[in-house]
Amino acid sequence: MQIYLPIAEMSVNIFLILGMGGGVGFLSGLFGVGGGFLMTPLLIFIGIPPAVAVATEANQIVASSVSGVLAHWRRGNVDLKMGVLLLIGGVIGSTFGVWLFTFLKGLGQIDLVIKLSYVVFLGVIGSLMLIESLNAIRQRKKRKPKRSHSHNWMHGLPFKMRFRKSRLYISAVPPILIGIFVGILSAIMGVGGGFVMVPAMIYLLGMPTAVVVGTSLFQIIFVTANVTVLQSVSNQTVDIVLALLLLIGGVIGAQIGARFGSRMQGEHLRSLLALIVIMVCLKLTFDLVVTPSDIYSIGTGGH
Amino acid sequence: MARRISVRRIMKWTACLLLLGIVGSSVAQSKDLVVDLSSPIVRITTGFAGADLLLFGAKQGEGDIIVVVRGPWETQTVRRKDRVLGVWVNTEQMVFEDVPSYYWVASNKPIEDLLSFEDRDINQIGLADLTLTPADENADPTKAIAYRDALIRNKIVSRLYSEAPEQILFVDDVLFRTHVNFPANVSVGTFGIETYLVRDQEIVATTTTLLNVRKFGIEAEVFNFAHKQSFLYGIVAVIIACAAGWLANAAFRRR
Repeated sequence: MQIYLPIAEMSVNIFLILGMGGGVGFLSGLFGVGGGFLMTPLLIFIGIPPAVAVATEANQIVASSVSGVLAHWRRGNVDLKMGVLLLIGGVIGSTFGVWLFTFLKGLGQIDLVIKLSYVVFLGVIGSLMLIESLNAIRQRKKRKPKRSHSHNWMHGLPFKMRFRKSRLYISAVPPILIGIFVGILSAIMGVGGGFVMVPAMIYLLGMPTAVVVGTSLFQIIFVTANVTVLQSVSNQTVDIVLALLLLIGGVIGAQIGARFGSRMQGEHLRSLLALIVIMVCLKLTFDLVVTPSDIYSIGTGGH
Repeated sequence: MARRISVRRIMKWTACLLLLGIVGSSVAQSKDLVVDLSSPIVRITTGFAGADLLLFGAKQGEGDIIVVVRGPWETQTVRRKDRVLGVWVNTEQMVFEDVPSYYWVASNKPIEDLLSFEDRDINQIGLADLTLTPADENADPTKAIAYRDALIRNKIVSRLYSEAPEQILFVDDVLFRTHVNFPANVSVGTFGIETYLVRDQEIVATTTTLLNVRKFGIEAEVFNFAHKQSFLYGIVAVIIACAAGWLANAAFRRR
C-alpha cells in the first residue's frame, strides 16, 4: 500500500516505513540506544531527501525520548541540574547547527556533509564499541574494580557547581560544551546524540552510570524539539506523516526489543550493535566513493 | 518569475481564444481538431502513486497527430560532481530558468518523420530540440550544452520527461486516443497540453487544453500548514511527538 508523503513529496510503501520503524525500534529497545543514527541513513537509503530525513528523524526522537525518559524519571535517574546545563549548550549548538544546515543546503553541499558526518561518527563509534566489547568478552573473568573518574584538567575550570544526584562538584563549562557539540550533531545528522553524550558524561564528567541515560534523554527531548521547530521554520523539511509512521513502528519495536535485550549479555549485545553500526558506515562510504551513475544531479530552485 | 507568468498567460490566452473559436465556430482551425482529457485535474491525495489520464480527440481530414504536455515552469539547478580526495563532491553548478518540470511528447509516427527541424524547434516539440538556457548569459556554451543534456537525462530517469513515439492510436480516420502518465513525483501547477495536426510536414491545426495538478485533502493541508505557518507547524509536530511518546509509555507500563 502506497502513501504519499506531503513534505518529502514522494510516494512510499507504508509497510516498508512501518517495518523500518519497527526494526530500528527493536534494535533501540534491544541495545538501549536512540536509533536515530540508524534511522536517518536508512531513510536516505530508500530515497527520502537527506534534508527531510534529518528533520523528520529529529521529530521522531522527541517522541521516543519522552517515552524513554518517563521510566527513568520515576526511578529518580534524571540529574535535572546537569540536564539543564547540557540543555543550555544543546539549544545553542542546535540553533547554530540548523543555521549551518540551511547555509550548506544553499551551497548544495548538505547531502555530502550529512553523509560524511555519518561516515566519521559511525566509523569511530562502531570501531571503539567493537574493540571495547570484544575486550570485555575476553576479560570477563578477571574484572577490575571500577575506578572512579580521575582528576584532570577539567577540575581547574571556573564556575564550579555541585550536582547532588551525580555526586559531583565540577565546573559548569564542560557540560555546556558537550551540550553545544551534541546540539550541532543533532541538527546536522538528525540524531539525539546519546551515542556521543553518554560516553562523554561517563568518561569526561565522571557521572555515575545510573543517571547518565535518564539525564541524556531529558536533554535530547528539548534539543530535538528545538531542531524540529527550527528546521520547520528555515527549511520546511519536517514530514509529520513520515514521523508518525516511524513512531508507530518504533514504539512497538522498542517494547519487543527491550524484552529480548534483558535475556542477552551486555558484551554480546554491544559487539552486535558495533557490527551493525560499522555496516551502515561502510554502505555510506561505498556510496560516496563509488563513481555515481551520473555525475550530474538536479534540484529545484537556484541561486 | 516574470517570464514564467508570461508563458502561463500566453497559454491561458491561447486556450481562451480556442474556446471562443469553438463556440463561435468561425475559426476553421478549431473544427479540424478537438481534444479532451478524461479529467481536467489530477488530485494528489494520501494514496497518490501517480496518475494515468486518457487523452482523446477527433481530427478532420488527413494528417498525423503530435501531443505535447508540459509545465509547470520552474528554476532548476544542475550540479556536477567531481572526485575530491576520493569522495564524489558537488563542485560546479548551473542554474536554468523556465524549465518545464514535466515534459511529455507523443505522436503516431516518429516526430522526426512528421516535422522539419525548424518546426520542431519553433514549437519546442521533442526532447532533442528542447531549448533550455542558463540563467547566466555569460555561461560557457560547451558547458551549457553538457549541463542541459544532463538536466534532460536526469528528468528522464525520474520519469518526468518522456517521449512516446507511435503511442497515439487511431480508432478510425477521425478519432484518436493515448494515455498520459504522471509519476508520483510530479510537481503541482498548471500544465499545457498542445495537440498538433500535421499534414505534409506542416502544422495545419493546433489546440491547447489546460490541466491542473493539485494537492487535495490532508496532503494539501499539511503542505500548506508547513509552508505558510512553519513555526506553528514545528510546535504542533513537537506536541504530537510528546503526546505519542507519553501515550506509548503509558500503554506499555501497565503490564
